[in-house]
Amino acid sequence: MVDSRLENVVLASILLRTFCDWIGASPQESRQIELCTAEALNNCVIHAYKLQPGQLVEMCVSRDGFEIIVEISDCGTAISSSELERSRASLQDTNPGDLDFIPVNGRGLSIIQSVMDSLEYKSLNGTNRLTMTKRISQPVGEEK
Amino acid sequence: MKIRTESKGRYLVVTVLEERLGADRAVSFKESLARLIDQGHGAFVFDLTAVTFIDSSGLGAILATAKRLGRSGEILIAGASETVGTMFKLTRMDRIFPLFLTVEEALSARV
Repeated sequence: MVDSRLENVVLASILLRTFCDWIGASPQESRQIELCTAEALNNCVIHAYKLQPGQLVEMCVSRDGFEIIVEISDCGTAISSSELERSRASLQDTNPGDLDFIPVNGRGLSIIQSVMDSLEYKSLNGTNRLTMTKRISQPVGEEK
Repeated sequence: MKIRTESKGRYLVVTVLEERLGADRAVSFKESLARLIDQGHGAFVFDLTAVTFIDSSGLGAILATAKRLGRSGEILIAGASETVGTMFKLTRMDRIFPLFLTVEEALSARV
């Protein structure tokens, strides 16, 4: 459980990277999972809880064979269906074009969609849960 | 956000002295850069050699700075690690901000 402060996002994502290193993820895979975890936690703190400290964000990490599963839950404002739909557009589909029209923020979900192998978002009874998975190449204890 | 600045010709080299350019640092980074723009600087080289982590908020701070500078301004990125460079490429920000291996290379390219 993480208190809804951005400094705690740093701690949680570094902890997760350490876990990934420990179970045998490559440095690149660990960094990717760390990035996506930070993006998801940032979304909770900034958007779900509007930067209000003292709210709870739950992070749950598990491993299933070659897959790392990260679940992040909050009880704040849910991500809208239109935002979820927008995030499914590939970052590569967007044309940088004119700097004036490029949004400063709002890439977090798209980054997760691009980097992780799967992303699922559910909002039920006031609890929002984002589940993302990443297959790692050679986890400890698994035959290749 | 800890940074160091050094004038090199018409460019101000801004060296980021912290390893992480994430959401917790993005606002203060953006504010520091805004002050430099208000002081009259219009061309920058951001030295990200020390940076090992950047998220979309960190990128957003750089993008916001570019928007504040406008068309007459310039931002070059130097020293991006593989991780940081991948983030620029993933988000197509490498099409807006030229990436160079070193500050010297960035400055030489613009002589």
